[in-house]
Amino acid sequence: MIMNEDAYLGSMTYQSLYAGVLDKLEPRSEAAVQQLRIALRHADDRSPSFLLDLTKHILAKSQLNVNLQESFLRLQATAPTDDLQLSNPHPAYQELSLRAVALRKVLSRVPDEMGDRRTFLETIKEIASSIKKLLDATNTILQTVPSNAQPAVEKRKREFVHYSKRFSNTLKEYFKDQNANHVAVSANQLIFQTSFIVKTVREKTRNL
Amino acid sequence: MVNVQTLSDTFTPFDVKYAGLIPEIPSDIDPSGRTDLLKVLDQGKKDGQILTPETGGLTMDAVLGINAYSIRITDKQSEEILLCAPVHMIASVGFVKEEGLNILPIKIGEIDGSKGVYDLAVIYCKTSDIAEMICNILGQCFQLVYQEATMQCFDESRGDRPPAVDIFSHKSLTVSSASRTNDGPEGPSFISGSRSDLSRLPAARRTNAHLHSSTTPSESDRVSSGHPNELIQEYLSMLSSTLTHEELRQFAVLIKRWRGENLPFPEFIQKVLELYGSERKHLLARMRPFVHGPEDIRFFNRFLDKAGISENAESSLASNSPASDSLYRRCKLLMCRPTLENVFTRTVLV
Repeated sequence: MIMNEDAYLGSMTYQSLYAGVLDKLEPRSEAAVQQLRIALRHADDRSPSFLLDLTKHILAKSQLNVNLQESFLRLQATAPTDDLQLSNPHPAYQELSLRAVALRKVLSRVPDEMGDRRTFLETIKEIASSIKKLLDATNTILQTVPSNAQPAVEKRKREFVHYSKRFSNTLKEYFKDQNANHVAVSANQLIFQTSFIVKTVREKTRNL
Repeated sequence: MVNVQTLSDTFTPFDVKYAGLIPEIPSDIDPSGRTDLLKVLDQGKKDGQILTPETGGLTMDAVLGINAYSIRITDKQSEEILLCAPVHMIASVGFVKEEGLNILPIKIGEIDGSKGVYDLAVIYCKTSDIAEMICNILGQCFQLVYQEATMQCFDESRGDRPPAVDIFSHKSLTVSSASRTNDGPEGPSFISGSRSDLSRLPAARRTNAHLHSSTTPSESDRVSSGHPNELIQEYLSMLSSTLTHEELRQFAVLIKRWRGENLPFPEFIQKVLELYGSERKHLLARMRPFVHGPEDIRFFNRFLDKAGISENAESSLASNSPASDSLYRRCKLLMCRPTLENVFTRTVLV
């Protein structure tokens, strides 16, 4: 499974880069911000990765030296969490939501903490714990969703496990070659898979 | 800093003087606590457990070899291995300058139930630069070991089971070409230079006390101390310090065949005993955490009885040799749960 950068960064661009900023601007002019929000989301839905391309274009024009992968990962820390919320009040759904938010938050700390080996190893342990809890929550959800939803959720779970293994391998490589960018890529992919699980559960249980 | 690959593949050597091993020091001794440390050293000298240059006693030239996974001290002349310990058993290393001596105490840990029991290997370095370099490299080793353990924990979080014998992927006993001559047909004698001293080896006497010696299946099913997985890991760590690389490979093959149901348990145990040999048969007693099921446990108990293997290794030991006589040949296998939580505070320069 190889994920194209546009695929996973593109799907996270609105939430990571724009959603929080729009929320902050909203008090100044609610109507204008709302209109902008709708337009941006509509464009992104119609043309996936539109916002990512727009962002790259703006960055190129600004001539700022910004590492996109690292920046995305850092910004996950302050991204609004509504994309990971599930409306179903059942504890299993709320638990899944909670674990997804927690994992995204802890992964977002990687760029800041990987410089200090000791701190980074502690963070890795936290990430491990977070992954385990998310998998436990997913397993519980699998027993809760209707049977016609199970194959799709199971598939998301397998993909998540695959990318968490890839993240593990990336970390081991990082300890040898210090290539931080690969770690950021892998972390972003894992975050994408996390939100993909939640999104799939939401879609498959929409009419419940 | 030493290149990580070099650290993993070979032993980085340092010329040192090995003063000996002080057993069972207080667990709260901190190498950064100069006063406490010097008290322990003074007591060790009085008890004849370590020798110092000023006493005119026996301090020989030795080589401290540091590998990512283990350290070893060998006699420079005879290349006899005087001490060998896996890195994860090292609780701390310090450096104290005292009256012109550059003292490097290495605290090697063993956890017995709720309290820690440690031994202190005492080394003298020619210069403070060498002592500091040793401390730095050991710090690097601690980091590597902790890193690997962290990643293993990470992989387990996904439900990946660690390989049953992953400890064997560590080249903890890779003997560098400089010291390979010490390997005889039965492998490096980590215990001591002479066969007769093997009987004096206090082979993990404290952790043996954990193992239930009852022969009734229901009681033997219980693990009296420690999680079974931890006991198994401890056993594998001990083996990695005791067996040669080839023997470890053979052990791994036997385990796989047994677990894969290609080898019945009675045959497996017999082959393990043959692998260990009569001088190391006491190691078999500590395989109890591997044994499950009433039938296998019954067989295991009968097998130990028949082979004359006591689970209390200490009872089979001869009394300790006088320190003044063979201290430099004394070597001890220590079992210890990795104290990974405080690994980064281990290396201290005073």
